Amino acid sequence: MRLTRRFWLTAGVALCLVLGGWLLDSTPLFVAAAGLLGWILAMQAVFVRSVTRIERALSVDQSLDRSRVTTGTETTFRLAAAIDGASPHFPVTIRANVPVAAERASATEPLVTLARTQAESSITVPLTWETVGDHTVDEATVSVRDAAGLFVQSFDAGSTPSVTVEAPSLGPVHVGQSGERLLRGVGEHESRGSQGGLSAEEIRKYVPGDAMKYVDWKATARLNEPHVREYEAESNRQTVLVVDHRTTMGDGPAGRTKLDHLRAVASAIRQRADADRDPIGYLTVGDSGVTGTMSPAARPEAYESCHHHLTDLSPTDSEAGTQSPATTRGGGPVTVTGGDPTLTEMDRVLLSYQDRQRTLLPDEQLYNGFRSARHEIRNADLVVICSDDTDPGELRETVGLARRNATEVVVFLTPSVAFEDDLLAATDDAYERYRRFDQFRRELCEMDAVTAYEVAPPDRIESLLSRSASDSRRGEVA
Amino acid sequence: MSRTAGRWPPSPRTALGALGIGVAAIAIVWSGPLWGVLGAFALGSLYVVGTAPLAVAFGQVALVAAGPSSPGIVAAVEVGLFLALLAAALSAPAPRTAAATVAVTVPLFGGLTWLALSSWQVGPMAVALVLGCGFATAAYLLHRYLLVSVGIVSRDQLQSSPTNE
Repeated sequence: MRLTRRFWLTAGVALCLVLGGWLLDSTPLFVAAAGLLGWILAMQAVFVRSVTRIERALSVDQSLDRSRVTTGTETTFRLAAAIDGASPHFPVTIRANVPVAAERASATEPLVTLARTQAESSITVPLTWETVGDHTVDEATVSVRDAAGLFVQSFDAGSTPSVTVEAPSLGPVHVGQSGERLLRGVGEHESRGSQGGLSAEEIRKYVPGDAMKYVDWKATARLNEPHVREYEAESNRQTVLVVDHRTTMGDGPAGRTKLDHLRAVASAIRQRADADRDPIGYLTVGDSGVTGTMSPAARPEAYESCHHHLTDLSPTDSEAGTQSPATTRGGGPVTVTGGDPTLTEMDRVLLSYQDRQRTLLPDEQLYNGFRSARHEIRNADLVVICSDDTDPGELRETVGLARRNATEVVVFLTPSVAFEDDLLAATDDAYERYRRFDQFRRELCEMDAVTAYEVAPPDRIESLLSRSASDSRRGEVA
Repeated sequence: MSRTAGRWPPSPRTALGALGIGVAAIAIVWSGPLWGVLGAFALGSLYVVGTAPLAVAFGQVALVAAGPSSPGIVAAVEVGLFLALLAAALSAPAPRTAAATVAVTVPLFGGLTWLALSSWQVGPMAVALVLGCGFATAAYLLHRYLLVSVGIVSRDQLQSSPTNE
C-alpha cells in the first residue's frame, strides 16, 4: 500500500492539532486530532476491505492473436478486465506490461480503467515485434485507489501470453520439374566433370531429376522399372553460380521473393561444393550489369566469399540500369543501345548476330554479363544459372551461350506466376501461364547437357496444379 | 503515489458534508465573536477547495479560538464537523459499512482521548504518544494484512521475514 500526499497532509494536520493541544493545553484539539487519526484508520480499513474484494472478483485476460511471428510482424494484443458482480467498487486501473521488444503501432496505451460502477472493459493494441526471441507479456499491474485519495494499492493479475519472434525465414522451397519435386539433393552430382576418375558404381531407382543419359536401360529392362547407374568418383568439378538479381527477382512477399528462393538453391549448391571441395565461383548480374564475379576456386576463403556475396544480394533498381555499360571480352567498354526506343525486335535479333564476338545485346544484362565474364567462369564444368521467366529470349540465349562453353548447364527458374499476390484470384489465367512456363523449361531441357528446374513455394505450385486437376475433372463431367 | 491516471480526483463532497460544514459554520458565527464570520467563511472555503479533514481541523481550531460558553454550540460544531467526515466515507463502494466504521472509530478515538485527558488525568505527552503509536501500529497491521490478502507477501515470507514487504 502506498500512501499519497493527501494522506501525509491529513496526518500532518492531525500532528499539528496534537502539538497545538499540547502547547495550548487544549483538550478539544487533542480530541480533534484523535478523531482525524481515527477517521484515517477507518478509511484505511474500508480501503483494505474493498481491495481484497476487488482482487478476488477481478479477472484480467491478456491475449495475443498469434504465438509465433517473424520480426516486423504486427500482432494484436488484447487486454480485457471484468469484475464479478454489479456492486460498485473503487476505480481500478489495469495496465499491461508489454515487453520492450514490442513496439506499439499507435499511441494507444495498453491500459484499461474500470470506473466505479463499470463491470468490464477491454482494449486492443497493435504490437510490432522487432527483436528475435521468446517474449512473454508479464501479468498486468492492477492499481486501486480510494475515493478520498489517501491510499493506492497495486498488484499483478492476468494471464501471461507469450510469443516467439523469429527472423524471416523462407520456409520450404519447391525444386522440381512440372510440379514434381526433385528428390535428389540440390547440388549433388556424379563425377561428370572434366577431371577426376571413376572409383565405383551402383544401380538405383530412377527419381525425377536424374538425367536421361544416366538411365541404365539394361537394368531398367531387367527390373521392369527405370534405374540409373551412379558413378562415384573423386570429384573436382568447377562450378559457377550465375545469379540474376534484377528488379523482377524482388517479386513475391517480403522474405519469400524469387531471389530468396534462388538464393536458397544457390546456397545449397555452394554448401555441397564446399563439402566436396569442388572449386566454386560466381557471377551476379543486376540491372546495371555485372555486380560481382569470382573465378572458381577451392580455397576456404572462396567459399566464404561466395556465401557472403549470395547473402548480401538484393534486387537492384531497374531505373539505374537502363543505360548500363558492359564490357566486351577482349576490348574496352561498349555502350549498348538498350534505351533506344526505335529498335525493333528484328533489330535486336540482327544485332545479336552482328559480330557475335564483340557485340552485346541491349537490355540483356544476364547475357552480356556472362558473355563478358572471364574464361574460367564461362568454361566451368558446371554453370548454374538462377533466374526467372521474365525474359525467356534472353535466358535462352544465355543458356545457349553457357552450353557452348561449359560442360553442363543447370538452370533454376522461378515462375513469375507463382510469386504474384493475386494468384488465388486469377487461377484460371495463372495455370495457363504456369503451363507456358513449364513449356519453356522443357525447351531448355531439350538442349544438350542442359537441365532446367522450377523453383517456387510448394504451396503455390500445389495450388496451381490442383486447379489444373479440378479443371480436368470439370472437363470430364462436361 | 500512482500518477498513471493523471491528477487525483477532488476530495468527495456531498450534501451531507455541506450540511455538516454549514451547521458548524453557523454555530461558530453564533458563538459570538465578529471574526466568527470570517472563520465560518474560511471553513466553507476549505471544505470546497481543500479536503474534509482540513476543514474539520480548521473548524476545531476556530471552535477553540471562539471559546463558546454554551455546550449547545460546542455540540453543534462537533456534530457538523463529524458529519463532514462521515460524508467523506459515504463515497466508498460500501457506504453503509464505511459510514458505520467512521461512526464508530471517530467518536471512539475522540471519546477515549477526552476521557484520558479530562477524567483519567493522563498527561498530554502520554496521550500524544499513545495516539501516535497506536495509530502507526494499527495502520501498519492493516497494511500488512492487505499485502497478504492480495498475495504480494505470502504467509511463508511473512514468517521468515517479518519486515519484508
